[in-house]
Amino acid sequence: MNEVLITGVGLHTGFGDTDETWRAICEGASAVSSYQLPGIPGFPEVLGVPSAPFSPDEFLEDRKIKKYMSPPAERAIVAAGRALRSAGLLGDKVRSSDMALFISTGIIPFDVPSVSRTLNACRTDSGELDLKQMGDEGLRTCHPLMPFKMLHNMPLGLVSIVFGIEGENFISYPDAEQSGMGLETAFRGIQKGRFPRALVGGGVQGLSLAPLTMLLKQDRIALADGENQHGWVMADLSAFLVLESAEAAQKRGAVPLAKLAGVEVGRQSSEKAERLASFWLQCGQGQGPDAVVLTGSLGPTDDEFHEKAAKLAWPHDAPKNVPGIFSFDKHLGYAGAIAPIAAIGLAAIMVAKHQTPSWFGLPSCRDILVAACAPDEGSFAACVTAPEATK
Amino acid sequence: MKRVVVTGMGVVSPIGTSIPAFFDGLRTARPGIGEIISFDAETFPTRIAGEVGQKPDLPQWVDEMILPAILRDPKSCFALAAAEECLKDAFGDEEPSQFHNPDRICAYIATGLEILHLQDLVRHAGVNTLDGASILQSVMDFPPWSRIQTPSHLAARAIAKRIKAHGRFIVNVSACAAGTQALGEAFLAIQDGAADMAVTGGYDSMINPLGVGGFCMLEALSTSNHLGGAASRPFDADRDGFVLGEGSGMCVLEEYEAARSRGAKIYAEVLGYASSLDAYRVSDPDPEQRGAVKVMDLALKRARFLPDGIDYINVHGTATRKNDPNEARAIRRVFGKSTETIPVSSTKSQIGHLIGAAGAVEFIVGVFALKEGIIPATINLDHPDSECKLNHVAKTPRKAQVRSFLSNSFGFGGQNAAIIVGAVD
Repeated sequence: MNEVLITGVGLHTGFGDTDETWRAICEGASAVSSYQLPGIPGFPEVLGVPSAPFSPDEFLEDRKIKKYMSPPAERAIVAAGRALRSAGLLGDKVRSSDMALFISTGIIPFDVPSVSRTLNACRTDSGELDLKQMGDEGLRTCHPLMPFKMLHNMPLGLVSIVFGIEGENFISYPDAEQSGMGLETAFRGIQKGRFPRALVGGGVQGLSLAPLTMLLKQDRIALADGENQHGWVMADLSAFLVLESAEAAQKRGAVPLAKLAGVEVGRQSSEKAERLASFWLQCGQGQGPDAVVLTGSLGPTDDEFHEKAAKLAWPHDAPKNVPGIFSFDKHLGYAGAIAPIAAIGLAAIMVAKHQTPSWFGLPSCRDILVAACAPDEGSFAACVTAPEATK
Repeated sequence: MKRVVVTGMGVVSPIGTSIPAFFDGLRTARPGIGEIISFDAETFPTRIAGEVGQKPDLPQWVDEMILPAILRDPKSCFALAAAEECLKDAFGDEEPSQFHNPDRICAYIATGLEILHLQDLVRHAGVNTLDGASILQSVMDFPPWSRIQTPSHLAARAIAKRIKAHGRFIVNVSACAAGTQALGEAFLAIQDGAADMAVTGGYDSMINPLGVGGFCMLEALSTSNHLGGAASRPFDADRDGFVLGEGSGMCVLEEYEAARSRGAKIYAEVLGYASSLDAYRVSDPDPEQRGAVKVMDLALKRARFLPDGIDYINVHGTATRKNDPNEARAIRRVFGKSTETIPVSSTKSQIGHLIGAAGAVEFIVGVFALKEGIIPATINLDHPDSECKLNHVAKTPRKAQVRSFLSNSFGFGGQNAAIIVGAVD
């Protein structure tokens, strides 16, 4: 089976691009701030991480395509371009059917001004919906390109068009487990020789109405002003990884950042700890990881659970000390479907740079277990190691 | 590589809400398209669709916590009913976990767009704003999911729970290609030895004001409202766009030896799957058909088939001006001379375009052809477009021995998927 390497990482976070994010993480900075949903007065202010300003323009040959892009799609283009550039694959080199593309997306945010304009146009005097008005005036108030911004699959189509990616593909939805499935499918596809390289990731708008209302209902969201300041801090974020077979990377002289030694996906929280432990052993890292990076764990209950899971995952008879357990979520916020990809990207950078953030209290990390939980039992883990590491 | 077989099927469609009813509809070429009745579409440019009609009964195992949200989302009801039928078909009164390790049971399921609850949302709308306080009140009053926007994956997750899928679980939202992709990826996971069994398929309905309105804005839908059941006309010279359908198709795929050892009835064997991207334009298929050709070529190669080994092609065949000639050209390029002999049909003529569920339901159509020896028809094909020259099974079904079929799905935005299935001796 082919060895799978990480040869590119691209991020766009609350701090900015990949380098800016890495620097801020090293300094222990946090991008969390109070956030009021635009166009929705009266909705509680939450703690959140809106993304730093960005533009996809530098990656667009024809800027007309921008009119089809929703904010998550624009964000995905930016991170995908950065990942490809980091792998040395930007431009004509990527124009091939050799590259697979697996994207995850979150719940589709709607554009409040345009939706409310349409809703207003089809409201009766008594405040009810009048479908006759909708078919008539309502549709006329919609921007003709609005459907493109609402369709889940558009980020997949747009990334493929902008970067000329023609290979195997899918787009999955809506949480961390699903980016795990994209990663696992890419990993297995390269291992089995179906394709030599893949671009995996996506962009999400965690700070939009639907996810926030759902989390509010479940009392899980962190409010800026209120009792629950310890809940989830949602983020707008995008992240991509370039994965390649060792042979394909070597052939084009690419310098790998890290090796992806294994990916495990699964459900059922009651057995999660055992699964993680078994996964780590399957990946052949008998020494155990130097660090465990968790994502999807901002509430105190999640933290407790994750910590237990990670400690159980540690093979107790291994000679190293129990690894440190860390999370970038407190710095970047939690971006659902994309948070684990960002965490794996940062883990790969740590391995490549032989450097860790000072708050890790570790000089360097060679083997990192990244574990992610979705809100509803789904989970996945990835084993990121130094490229020369062998089983 | 492991062999992968189909051991259960379930369907909810505009021509039948069970496998026997659906097969009867295919056999008799019954049209499932008519005037929209689920909402008042009188002022919409398109007022026809392939509706399921009466919602199927929900199985007992649906979690009460998500039930209110499921009941507000027709596509979720279709999914649960189709899943229940395919599980009963494959396992009777027994559970998949009696035969398979839950860690190796998977769910690979396709779906479509979230439901925006307009009736509720309109109460919160101001000019260019929404009233956050009233949204908050509304959300807090409504258990347990958002009152304004229901996420699409609830039914998929309920199915995964139902089958105790502790293994891979994917919710594929690749639009019109999603159903075929879900089946194809489940097939690959089992073939690779990463799973033993999967419930896989798709569910979708965009027959709601926003769905119909959105496609009207894209000018993708047929406006031949007066034609009713004859409005969906793939490959016909008089076609004027697709007609939306709704429903769900679900299958049980199992590793061949495991299926055989538990004495399962085996309908067919999945032989090859591929996906590709046009990387061309957001709204148009590639006029050079590179992605469409590649996906069929690769599926054939992976199934170890020569083009003349295919006995039937269930085409994507949407009835849009651009898709049909493009797909016909791609088929001619891949199949060469065999194009003249391989029968081709688009069942979207009967049931409309089920978007995220299309590939899954059309997969079941292919299994029908294998099992029954009948190739369903492109029912409204009165005047075949000369640009769409293929061996069409026009107007009425055709009897034929079918040992293998190819099913194509091409998504708006450039996603392509093709799957090849064969009979099992």
